[in-house]
Amino acid sequence: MAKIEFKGLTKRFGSLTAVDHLNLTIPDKSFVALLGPSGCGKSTTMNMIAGIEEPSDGQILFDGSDIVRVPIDRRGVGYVFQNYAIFTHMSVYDNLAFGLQVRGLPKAQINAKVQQVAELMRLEDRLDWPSGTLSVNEMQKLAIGRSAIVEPSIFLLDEPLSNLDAAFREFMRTELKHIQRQLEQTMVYVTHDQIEAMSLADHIAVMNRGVLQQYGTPADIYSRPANTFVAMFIGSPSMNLIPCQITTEGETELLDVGSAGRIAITDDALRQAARAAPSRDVILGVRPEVLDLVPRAATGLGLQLEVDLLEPIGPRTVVHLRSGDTEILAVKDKRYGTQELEAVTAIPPQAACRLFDRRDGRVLGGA
Amino acid sequence: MRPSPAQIALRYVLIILATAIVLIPILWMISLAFKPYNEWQTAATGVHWWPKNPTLGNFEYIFTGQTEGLVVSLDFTAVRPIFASLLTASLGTILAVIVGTLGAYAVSRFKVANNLPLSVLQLRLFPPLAVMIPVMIMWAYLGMIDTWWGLSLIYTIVTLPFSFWLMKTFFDEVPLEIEEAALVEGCSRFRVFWKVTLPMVKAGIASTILFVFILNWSDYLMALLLTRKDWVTIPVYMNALATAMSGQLYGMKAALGLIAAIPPVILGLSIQRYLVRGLTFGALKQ
Amino acid sequence: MSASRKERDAAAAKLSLEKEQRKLGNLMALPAQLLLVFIVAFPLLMQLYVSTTWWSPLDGVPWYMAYESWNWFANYSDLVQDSRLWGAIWRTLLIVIVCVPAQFLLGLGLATLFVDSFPGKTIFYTLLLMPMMVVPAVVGYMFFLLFQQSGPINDLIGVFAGGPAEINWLNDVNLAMVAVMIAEIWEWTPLMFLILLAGLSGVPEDQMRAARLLGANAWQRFWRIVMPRMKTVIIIALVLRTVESLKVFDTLFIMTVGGPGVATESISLYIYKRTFQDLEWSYVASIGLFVLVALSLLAGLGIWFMVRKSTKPAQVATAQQGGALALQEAK
Repeated sequence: MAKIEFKGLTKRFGSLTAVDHLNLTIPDKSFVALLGPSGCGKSTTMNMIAGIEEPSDGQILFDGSDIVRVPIDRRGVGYVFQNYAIFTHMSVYDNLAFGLQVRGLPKAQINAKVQQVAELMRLEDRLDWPSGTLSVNEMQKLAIGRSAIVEPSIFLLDEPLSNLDAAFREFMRTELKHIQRQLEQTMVYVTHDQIEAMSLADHIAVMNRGVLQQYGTPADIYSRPANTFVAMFIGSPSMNLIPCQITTEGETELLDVGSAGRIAITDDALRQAARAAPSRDVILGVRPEVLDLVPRAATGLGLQLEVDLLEPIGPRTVVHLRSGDTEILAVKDKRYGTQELEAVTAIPPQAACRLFDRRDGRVLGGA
Repeated sequence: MRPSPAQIALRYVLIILATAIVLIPILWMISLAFKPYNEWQTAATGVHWWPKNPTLGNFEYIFTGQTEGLVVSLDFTAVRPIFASLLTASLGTILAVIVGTLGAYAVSRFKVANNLPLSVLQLRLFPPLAVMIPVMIMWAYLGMIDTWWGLSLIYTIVTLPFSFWLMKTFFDEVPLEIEEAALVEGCSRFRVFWKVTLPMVKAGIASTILFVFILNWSDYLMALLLTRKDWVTIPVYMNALATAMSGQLYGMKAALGLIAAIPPVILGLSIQRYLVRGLTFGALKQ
Repeated sequence: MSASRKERDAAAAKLSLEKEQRKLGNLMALPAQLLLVFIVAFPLLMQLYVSTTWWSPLDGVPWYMAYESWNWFANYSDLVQDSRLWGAIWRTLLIVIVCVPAQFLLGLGLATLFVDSFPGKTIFYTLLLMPMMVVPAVVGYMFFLLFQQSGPINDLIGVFAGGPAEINWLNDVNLAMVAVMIAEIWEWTPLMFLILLAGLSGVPEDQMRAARLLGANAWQRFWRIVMPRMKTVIIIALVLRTVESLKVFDTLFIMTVGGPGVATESISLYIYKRTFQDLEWSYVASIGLFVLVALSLLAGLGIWFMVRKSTKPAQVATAQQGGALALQEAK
C-alpha cells in the first residue's frame, strides 16, 4: 500500500534532460501506466521510483515521506524488468524463493509461500525446472511471481508484455488486472503501447521528451486530449488534426478549412474555445470514429471532401478523405457503403471536437 | 544508486595503491637504464629513484660497444640480438598464423581433423623442458641449432595453439550463410575461403598476428636452449651481458630490458580488445 | 521423372561438394598435422628410447646408437630416489599453491573495483595490464634489481621500519622463494584481473538490480548471482594459471638460477641444469617423460572431476542458452 508522489522530479544525463519537473500523484492501489514513445523519460521515471537512478532534482514521496535517500533494497518496490532478469542459473523454485531466502526466513515458511505464489502464477508444476528452460510466457509469470512474493507495496512493470506472443499478450493483460486486484498493490506500468495502457490502467500519464503531457483516466485521455501530441499518440488511427482559421460572419464563428469549406460553430464549448484562441490559426481535432459521412450536401456544418481510398481493417473500414491539402480519416463500419472518388460531406459532431492552438499545440478553452 | 564518497575514496586509494605496486618495478628499471655507471651500485650512492646525472651512455654502449667511463669495450653489441629477435619472432609468427589459420578453417568448416583442437592445446599443457631432449637432438641432427630457421620453426610450433584457437573463434563467428551464398554463386570451395571468409576475419588475423608476435618476442627459454651465439635473442643476450672486468652491466641490461619491453607493451595495448580471447584460447570473449 | 532426376542431380552435387570439402579440409589441416607429428609423435618415441639408455652427448656416439648403453629402466629407478627432483617438484607445487590463489584473489579484488565505470578507469586499467606485457625475462631482471641487498625494496622497508634494512633476499634460502613468488604474483595478477573482469562484466546488470530490489545485500548478490555465473570463467582462469605456473622457469632462472643452492629450483630449472651442466641427457629424458605422464594424469583427473561435477550445471547452461534464444526469437 503506498501512494506515490513526484514533486518537481528531474533527471539530467549530462546535457540531456530525461525527466523535466514531473509533478504527479499516483493514488494508493491504483494501476497507472506511464505511456510515451521511446526516450520520453518513462523508464527513467520508473528507475527513479525503484532507486536504480537517482533524481537530479525534486522529490519522490511514498505515502508522504521522501525516499530519494532510501537505498534500493529497502524501498519495498517490486520490479519486473522488460527482459524479466530471471536468474537463469537457478531453478524456478529458487527464483521464487530468492527474495525470502535473502531475508533469512525459515525454510518451512518459504516453502509455503513459494507454493502459494506458484499456484497463483500457475507455475506449480515447473518448480524443479531450471528457470532457463521456461518459455518466454512462463518467464514472464515467474518474474511477476518472484517480485510479488516479497509483497512489495509498489509494483513496477517495465514493458512486461512486449516480448510475448500476441495470443498470450491478450491473456496476460487480463491476468495482470486480476493479479493487481488480488495483490492490492500500487502498480506502475511502463509501456509505449497505447492499447495496452488504455485497456489496463486506471490512470495514464502520457509523457514526451521528459515532460508530462497529460494525466487522466483512459477515457479522458482518449476523448479529451490536452494537446496535439496526446491527440496524435493515442488512438489508432489517431485523431484528425485539421489546420484551419477562425473567421467570423456576423455573430457566428466559422472554421475555415480552405478548399474543404467552412464549418459554422454551433456548440457552446467549441465556441468558447474558439474565442479563447490567441490567434486565428488553430487546429481542429476530431476522432475518425465520430466523423459522420453523408452524401455531398451544403450544410455549412461539414467538410466537402472526396473519398481517396478505402482501407478495410477487419470489422471496420478506414476511409481516407481528401480535399486539396487537407487529408482526413474516418473509421466506419465494414458495411459502410461508399466508393472511392465519391464526393462526400464529413460532419464533425462538435461536442466531440477539440480546438488546439496551432503554435504550441495546446488545447483551447480549458479542459 | 551512486556510491558514497567514502566508497569512491576507498576505491581510488586501492586502485592507486595497486597501480603504484605495478609501476614501481618498471620505473626502477627505467631509471636504472638512464643512470651512469657510478650510480648502478646503490651501496655506493644510496638508493635514489631518479638518476642524478641522466645519461644515454647505457644505450650507446649496447649499440656501439663503447661509452665514456667504461674502459672495457663490448665486442658483441645488441644490434645482432635485436635483429635476431625481430627476424625469428616475425618468421615464427607468420608461419604459426598461416598454419593455424588453415587448420582452424578446416576444423571450423569441414568437420575434418577432429584431433587438432585438443592436440594443439596439449602442446601448451606440457612444460617445454620436459620434451627438450629429443627436440635438441633433432635440432642438432638437422643442423638447426643456433640458426634463424631453427628458432623460427620452434616458435611456429610453440605459438600454434594460440594462432589455431584464436583463428578458430574468428572463423566460427562468420555466419555459414555468407559462404553458402557464395557457393551458390558458383565459387570453388577454396575461392570462398580466400575471397569471402578471409577478408571478413581481417581484423581477427591482424590481432592474432600481433598477439602471437608478442608471445614469440617474449620467449626466453627456446632461445636459451636452441641458440648459442649467432642467433641469440634479446633476453638471452641481456641476461648474459657482463664483462670480465666490470662484472654485471646493470645499466646496460636495464636499457636493453626497456628496449625489449616496449614492443609487446605497445602491441598488447593496441589489441586490448582481443587479449582475453587470446589468453584463454578463445574460451572467453570480452 | 524430371523432378526425380533433379533430386538425383542435387544429391550428387551435394555429395561431390562434401567430397571436395573434405579433401580441401584435410589439405588445409595438413601443415598443422605435420607439425604435430614432427614435434609430438617423433620426439616422444625418441625420448622413450633415449630414456632407457645411459646415452649422453659426451659419449661421442649419435643418439640412434644409444642402444649400446641400454639399461632398461635404470634411469627410472634412479628418478624415484632422486631427492633433488622431488624437492623441485615440491617447490614447483608450492609456487602453484601460493601464487595462483594469490593472483586469483588479488585479480578478483581488483576486478570488482573496475566493474562500474569511474573517471580514469581506462588509464588505470591500461597501467594495471603492464606487468603481463613486459617480457618475462625482463620481469625477472626487474625483480632481481629490486631485491638487491642495497636495492629499493630494502630501502622502502627501511623507511617504514625506521632504520636501514639489510635483508639479503636472493641469497637467503627462505627469502629467495618469497622474492620469486612476489615476482610471479606481480607478473600474472593482471592476467587474472583481465579474465575475471571480463567475467564480472558479463553478469547481466538487470539480474544484479533484480536481486537488489528483492532485498539481497552485496554479499548475497556476490555469492548467489555473481559467483554462479563466474564459475566457468574462474575455472578457466585457474586452470590456465596452474598449467603455466607448473612450467615456471624464466623469472626463477634470471633472479636466482634456482639458488641459493637448490632453494628456488623448479622442475623446469632442475631439468635445465641436468641438461646443460651435467649433460645427462638420457636421465633428463626419463624425467621429462615422468613429468609428462604425471601432468597428463593430473589433467585427465581434473577433466574427469570437472565433467563429473558439472553434469548438472552443464544442463543448466544449455537450458540458459535455450531460454535466451527463446527470448531473442520473441523479440
